[in-house]
Amino acid sequence: MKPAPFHYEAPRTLDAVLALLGEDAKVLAGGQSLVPIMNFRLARPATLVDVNRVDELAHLRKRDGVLHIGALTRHATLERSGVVARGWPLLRQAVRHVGHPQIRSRGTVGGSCAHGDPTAELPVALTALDARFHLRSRAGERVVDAAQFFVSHLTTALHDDELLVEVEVPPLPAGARTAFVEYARTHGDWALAGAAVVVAPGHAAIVLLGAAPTPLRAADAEAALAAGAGAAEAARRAGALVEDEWRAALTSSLVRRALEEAGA
Amino acid sequence: MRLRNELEVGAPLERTWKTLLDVPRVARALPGATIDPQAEGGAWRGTMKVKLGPVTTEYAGTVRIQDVDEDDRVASYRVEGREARGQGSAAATITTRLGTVGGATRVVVETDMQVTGRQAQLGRGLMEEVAGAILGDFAGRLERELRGDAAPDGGGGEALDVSRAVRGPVLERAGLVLAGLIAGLALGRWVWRR
Repeated sequence: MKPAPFHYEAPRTLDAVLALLGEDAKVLAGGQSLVPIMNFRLARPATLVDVNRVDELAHLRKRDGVLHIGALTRHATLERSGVVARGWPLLRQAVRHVGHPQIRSRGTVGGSCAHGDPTAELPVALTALDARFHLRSRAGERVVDAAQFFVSHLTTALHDDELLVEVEVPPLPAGARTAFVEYARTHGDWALAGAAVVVAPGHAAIVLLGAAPTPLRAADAEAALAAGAGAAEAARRAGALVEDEWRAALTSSLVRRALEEAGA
Repeated sequence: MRLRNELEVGAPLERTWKTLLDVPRVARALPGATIDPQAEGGAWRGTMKVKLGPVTTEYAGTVRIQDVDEDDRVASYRVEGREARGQGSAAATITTRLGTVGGATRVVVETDMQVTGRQAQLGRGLMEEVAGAILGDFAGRLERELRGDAAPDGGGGEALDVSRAVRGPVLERAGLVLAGLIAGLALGRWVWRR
């Protein structure tokens, strides 16, 4: 199917983008989620604001130990980046599960987060990394953490006139090891369940994919792990967060595999 | 294919670093390259000509800064291009790492390159020579640019004939490969015509 008629704008500056945002406008970045749902006429924005020409959104920079990911950074850029591989290996581990190479060469970090799909890989990994999200509007900028940003199914803290401009990721704790695992019926399909883990001396982050309308922190399992429990016990507690019996078992075994991979 | 080159620029580290992040300025120092001054979504469009004796290959494509490590002074660039005439393509991730040597700056350049099409058949040895020749010329021009000398011979538009810088035996081998290719093409065309 073809999308409903819409008005198209492709400004070159961030200010021009912000001036166009509003109730009936939708931001087009990589288009890997938005264009299909427009083609199915599930989304019918009056105006499409294409941000692909905005230079201010296309950066990937490490400064004072903190990673700054511009919203327009492609999945493929994250996957190839040496800075990411050295400092934030979890992002590379996660992004490799996103769709196929064609999708990764267009899809953006900002788009994946702003879409708010609970089975998307990057939001789960970014939650495990305690990322912060920079939201900009004509009125100014605010910064929220992952728990505030991801609200529900396809719903984020972004207002109609706001744009996600940057995701900021703090450095990993010393000696941290990370892993990302997921299960999908076929490779590149939407995952049914998954987990991102960060394990370091005195620190544990376990975040579940597809277990709730947003990335879900398994706080109970994290606490157990920090208190000296083994991977099996932490995985059992993480699985207990999921209601459906089959999914609970799947989630638990994925968490266990991730923790073992990260050396917990 | 991975290549590693080192060059020394007679300018302080901070100045070299700032210049390296100014993509149009860097492109001006690259022999055979032209670039649009205005980026779009962080990508600059441009062309690059590589001349090897009688063979000139022109690529058209984009360059973007892939990532920047401001703490350790490491920057990497992603270059993707297609042959202006022909089916070949070239893509490379180029990582530059800066260090200080005396009053100068050492730049370690690591290139991870994928080349397809006829150029790929020239082989690694020759491509290393070509990349080395281009980078050597680039270092000299970059240094002049950093010292504030006027850009020599109107910038980087003129392609460097790398055959002058390429060692004899390698060039001979390249000649053989090219001769083989040309013969193959001619034969193919002849068979096709019949």
